[in-house]
Amino acid sequence: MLNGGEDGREARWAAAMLAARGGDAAAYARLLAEVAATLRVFAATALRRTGLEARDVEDVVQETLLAVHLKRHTWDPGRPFLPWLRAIARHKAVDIVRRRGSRGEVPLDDVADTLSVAAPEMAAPVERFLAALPSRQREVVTALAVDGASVAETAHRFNLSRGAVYVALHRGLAALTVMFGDWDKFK
Amino acid sequence: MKTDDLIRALAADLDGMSPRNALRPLWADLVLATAVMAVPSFAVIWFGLARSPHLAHGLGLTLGTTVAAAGLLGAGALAAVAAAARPEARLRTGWAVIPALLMAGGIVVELARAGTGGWWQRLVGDQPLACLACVFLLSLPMLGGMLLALRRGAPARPRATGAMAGLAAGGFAAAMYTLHCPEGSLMFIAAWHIPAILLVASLGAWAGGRLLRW
Repeated sequence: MLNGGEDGREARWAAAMLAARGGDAAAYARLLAEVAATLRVFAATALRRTGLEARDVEDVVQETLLAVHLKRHTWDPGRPFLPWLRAIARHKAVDIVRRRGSRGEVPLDDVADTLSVAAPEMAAPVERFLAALPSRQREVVTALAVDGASVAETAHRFNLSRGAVYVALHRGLAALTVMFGDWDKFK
Repeated sequence: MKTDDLIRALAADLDGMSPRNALRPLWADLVLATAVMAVPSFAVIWFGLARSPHLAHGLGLTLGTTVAAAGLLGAGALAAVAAAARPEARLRTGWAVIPALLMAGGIVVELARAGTGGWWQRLVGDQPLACLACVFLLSLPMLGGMLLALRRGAPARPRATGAMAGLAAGGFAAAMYTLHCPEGSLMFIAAWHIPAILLVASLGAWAGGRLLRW
C-alpha cells in the first residue's frame, strides 16, 4: 500500500509536499489526512502480525505524522516521496514495537491491501503527553488542535504575538515527539 | 488528541516557520558545521605545534599519501553522512576502499624504496601515543559539530551514522595533523593515526545512538 505509485499517489503527494513547502497549509492538511488514512492501514497490518494491540495503530499514525512534519526538510524534492514516507513509517513502527518490549521484525513489504480502516474512537496517546507539556505549550497546542482556533485567535486569547504562538506550537510538537520516545516514563 | 486535531496543529505550524530556515538542506548545515569546527583544531596545529620538518621537502610519499588518503576518507565519510541523514537512504561504505588502497599502496612503495631495515623504529616512531592522542582530540570539535547538525536529520541507523561522522572528523583531523606530524613513515601513520580515527568512530557511534534518535 505504501509501495505502489500506480494510482498516482506518488505524483499527487509529492506535488502536495511541494505546495506545503511553498506555505500552502490547506494542501498540507489534506496531504496529512490522506497519509494518515494510508498509515492506518499500514500500521494495522504491520502491528497485527507482531501481536500488539489496536491502540498502537493510532500511535504509529500520530508519531509518523509528527516525524513527517518535523523532518520534512529531509525529503529531497528531486527524489520520490513514497520511499521517504515508508522509511519514516517503518522507523516509527519498529520503534514502537521495540518500546513495548515485543521482539520481531515488522513485516512491511508484504503489506498488501488498501482497505480503508475507520479512525478508531479511542483516546489517542497524545492526550497523556499533552498533560505533561509546559502550560504555555499545552494551551497553544490545545487551542489550535483541539479547539480548532486560528493562530490569530490563539494569539489574542493568550495575549501573545503570532510569532510566540508559533514558537510555543513548534516547541510543543517537538516535545511531544520526545515524549513518544520516552514512552516508558508515561505508562 | 485525535489524529485530525494533530493534523490541524501541524498545518498551523507550517505557517509559522520561514521556509528558508525550515527547509534549509541538511548537507549545507553539515558542511558549515564541519568547516567552522575545523577552525579551532587548525588553529591549535598552526599556532600551537611545531611545523613538520617534512614540509620543507614538498609533498613526499608520506605527506602526499597521508593527506590524500585522510582527506578522501574525510570527504567520502562526510558525503555518506549527508546522504544518511535522509531516512530512506542507505549508508554507503564502498568508497572507503579508495583511501584504504591508497594507504596500502603507499606502504608498499615505501617498503620497496627503503627496504625493511629499521621497520620497527619507523613503525613506532618517537612519540606514538602523543600522535594518537592528538589526532583523536583534534577531531572532537568536528565530530561535535557534525552530530549537532545531524540532529535535524532523520538517519535510519543513528549509531552507524554517528560512526561515519567520526570517520569524517578523524579523516580531516589526520589530514590537518600532517602539518605538524614529525614522523616520516607511512607505517607510523597507519599504525597510530588509523587507530585514532577508529576511536573517534567508536565515540561517534556511541554518541550517535544517543543524540541522533528521532
